[in-house]
Amino acid sequence: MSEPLLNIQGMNAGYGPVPVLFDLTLSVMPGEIVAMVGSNGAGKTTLLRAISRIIPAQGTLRFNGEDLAPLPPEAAFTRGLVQVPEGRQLFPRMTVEENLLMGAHLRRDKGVEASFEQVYTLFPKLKERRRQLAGNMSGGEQQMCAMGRALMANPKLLMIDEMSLGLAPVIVDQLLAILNDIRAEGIPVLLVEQDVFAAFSVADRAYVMETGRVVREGPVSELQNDQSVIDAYLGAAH
Amino acid sequence: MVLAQILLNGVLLGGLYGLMALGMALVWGVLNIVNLSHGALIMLGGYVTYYLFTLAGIDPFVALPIAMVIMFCFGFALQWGVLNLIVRSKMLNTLLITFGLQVVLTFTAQLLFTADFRTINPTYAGNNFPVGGLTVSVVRLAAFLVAIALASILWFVLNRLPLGRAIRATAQNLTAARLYGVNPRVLYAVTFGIGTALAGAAGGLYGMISNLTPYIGASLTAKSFVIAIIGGLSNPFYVIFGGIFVGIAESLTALYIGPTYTDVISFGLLVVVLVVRPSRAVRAA
Ligand SMILES: Nc1ncnc2c1ncn2[C@@H]1O[C@H](COP(=O)(O)OP(=O)(O)OP(=O)(O)O)[C@@H](O)[C@H]1O
Ligand SMILES: [Mg+2]
Repeated sequence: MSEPLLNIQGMNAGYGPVPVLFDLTLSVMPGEIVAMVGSNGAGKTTLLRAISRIIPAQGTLRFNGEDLAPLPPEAAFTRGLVQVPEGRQLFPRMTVEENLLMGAHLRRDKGVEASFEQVYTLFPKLKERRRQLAGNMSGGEQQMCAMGRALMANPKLLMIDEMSLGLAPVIVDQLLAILNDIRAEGIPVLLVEQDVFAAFSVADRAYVMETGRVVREGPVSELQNDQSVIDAYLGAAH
Repeated sequence: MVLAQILLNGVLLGGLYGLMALGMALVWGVLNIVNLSHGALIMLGGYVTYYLFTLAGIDPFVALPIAMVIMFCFGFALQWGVLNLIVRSKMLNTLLITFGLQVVLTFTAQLLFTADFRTINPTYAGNNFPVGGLTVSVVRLAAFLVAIALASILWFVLNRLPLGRAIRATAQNLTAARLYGVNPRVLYAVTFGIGTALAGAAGGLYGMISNLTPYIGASLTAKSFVIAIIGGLSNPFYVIFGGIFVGIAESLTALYIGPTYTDVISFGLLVVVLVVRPSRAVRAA
């Protein structure tokens, strides 16, 4: 078995004196789509903040064989650890194109043009709207823009927080399909979701988080049939 | 003809006013700091230019970019060492600190430069030329053109260069900017440095048109504040227009009401703006 791309062990993190994550262990292998599901306030966003080094954390945090713990957030970013934050967090008074450029603003390689091509191929809408202010777009378009901006950073791991939030089911399905395309281009995805159905429909493996602890983990094919997961998250509809 | 001349003077002076406000608007929009020491930085830039001219014998318009570099470094260090400590704190704290800074700078200037009036007086200071019956002062025209040029450069930096894009992005969404690799500490220091360099240029030009004393800071801060509110914080050219507007208003006041009332007018305008567009005053970026 190959080395995990992202390897977290025994992570504790929180805000000042308030602990949120407890002894958390998680890994993402190359080529995988991994889902992290859990209800409101479970600590999913906190986990992504800790991975991006925005908030301090204790425990092992290794990416691509490198210890991230001593690095500042911008170093984690330039290593290819890129997130699409909860609530899109676009630059609202900048155009779509400028938002995409902000994804690439630290890149010095020659691949930026190619990344534009890649993003515009995955999201043709963004190409149509490239001169429009990001703040004036619909929720679905904004999510595409946020994902496009992340891809412009040439990520080695794409972390997406609540991709489906507030979006119509057809848009969510489109975006889920695009996650498969992204994976096909060699970029693994860590998908943080409250919508367990959506997450399980694309993920290979999943973790279930409750109040800052991982309570279940495994291949989606197993979790889908796990009675406690069904009762808590998938409900009667499944 | 008198009116036309007055308007022309107002426009030319207004360009300089706009330049004074440019750095304040930039810092306000990006760092959310209403920098009460901005006028003192203008004053400092004036003295730097003055001494480059009198001691080093450098033509003041050549000295201007040198003064800007010096002021950039000063502003960068100030933000890095002092203001970064309070940048995300409450507005009241930033007002207090920058007010304190204004006092310190004023009295340091008094110690170093004395309270004497200084004017940057190159040989061509009094030169005029006629245009269609109007008289154009060479220095005032040059000051106006420098202001327009610097506003254009700032516009270009903000809208066309990666650094400017990062500055605007940080102003619009700090969380996202940090996630995308912007180091706010560095970016804020650079932004404050640019604002200080612009203040420095404004000070140098001010010293060619008017008198420098260590005490001009407070009233220049107030004027810059008014213009920043009128012009908004998002577009350098709007700030220049705001300056021209105030310049014209002052000139007309001097003509029709009396020269002693010119300082009142900018505050009258402030009140009008606050009544008509109150959101302007509290809006960031
Ligand atoms: N900036 C903050 N300061 C202090 N506590 C915070 C902060 N952000 C989140 N928390 C707390 O941390 C806990 C986990 O929040 P987090 O946002 O990580 O949850 P989440 O799983 O992402 O929830 P959601 O599904 O609603 O997005 C919550 O109890 C929340 O109140
Ligand atoms: Mg969340």
